[in-house]
Amino acid sequence: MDKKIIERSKTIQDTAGRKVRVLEDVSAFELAKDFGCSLRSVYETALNAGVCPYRYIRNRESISMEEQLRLSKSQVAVIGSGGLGGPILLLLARMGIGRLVAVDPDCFDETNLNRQALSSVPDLGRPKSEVAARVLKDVNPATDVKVYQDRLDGENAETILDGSKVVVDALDNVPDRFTLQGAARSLNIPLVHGAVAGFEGQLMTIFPEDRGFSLLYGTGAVEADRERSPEALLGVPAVTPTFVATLEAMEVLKILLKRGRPFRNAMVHVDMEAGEMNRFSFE
Amino acid sequence: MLLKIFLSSTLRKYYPGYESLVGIEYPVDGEISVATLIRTLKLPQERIKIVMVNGAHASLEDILKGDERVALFPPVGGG
Repeated sequence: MDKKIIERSKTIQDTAGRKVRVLEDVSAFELAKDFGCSLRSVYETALNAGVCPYRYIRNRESISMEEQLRLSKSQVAVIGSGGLGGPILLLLARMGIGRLVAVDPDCFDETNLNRQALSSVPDLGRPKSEVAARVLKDVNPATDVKVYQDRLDGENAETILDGSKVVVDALDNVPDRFTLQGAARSLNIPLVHGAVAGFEGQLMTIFPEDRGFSLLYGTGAVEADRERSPEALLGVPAVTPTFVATLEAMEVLKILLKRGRPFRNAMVHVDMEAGEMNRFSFE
Repeated sequence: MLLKIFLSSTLRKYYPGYESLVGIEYPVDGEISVATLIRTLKLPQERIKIVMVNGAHASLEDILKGDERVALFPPVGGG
């Protein structure tokens, strides 16, 4: 396929005037059809041969072709497809993660429209996971999406997370977060946590050996009265989960590409209204 | 000496007139524990899950000198 990719590629000048060899989707789709493989495989072969899928040209020099290949070869599981999960999935697909796992038991309803990026009027009543698969395919057909219309529990967690290099917490409640952390730990997968209420949000990256949720929520004896939780009282306006989702997606990139410094053993707290973002240390 | 206390999220409604940009400026003479401070400010201790003093994790029993920045957080779980 290498030879065919080189044949079908063309050399263009990027926005900075540098020459670069690219493969446009129209050719990539034809190659996928000719070779009976996925678009993702065509992209990966191209990247390996130093040909940039044209859609990623504007990632230069922030994400190198080698890094783009690494993203394509990675699987990331996003648990929840709502306020946090929607934009996280959209960002990760756009960035070129090769395989995404989307997990959500619910269907879209009218109260989701104020914040959930994957929700829209025509899709009300449809399962969030099903909509995620459809929308993501349109955003990036080179991302393979696997969906589970399930609530993560002790039974299914390890099956759902298996094979993922990073797991992203886009849940909306504390008990499920402990379930998720337990499964991520036993599979030795790093977990990126985000949570929001009102105009405030928090973020933490939890590696298997880190203390994790006990730092944020105590020892697991979680309040049963969800009605008195900050998110229940304050609600969640769109700007907050979208911002925290962006931070979570960046943590995924940092982990997969071994860049920057993930926020481990620390809580990043965001106050959108005050315009503040602070890092609080647990070390 | 002046303590600066920042409240997150729903804890703010327990301190009428709280302004997020300013926080609470609380003068103290001498040492005071975090728990005593919380009681003095009439904040619900059972709703406070995280205490941070000068950006680092602290406990209710920790003693404040009087010039710290204290941030208090409830458990936030929305998504």
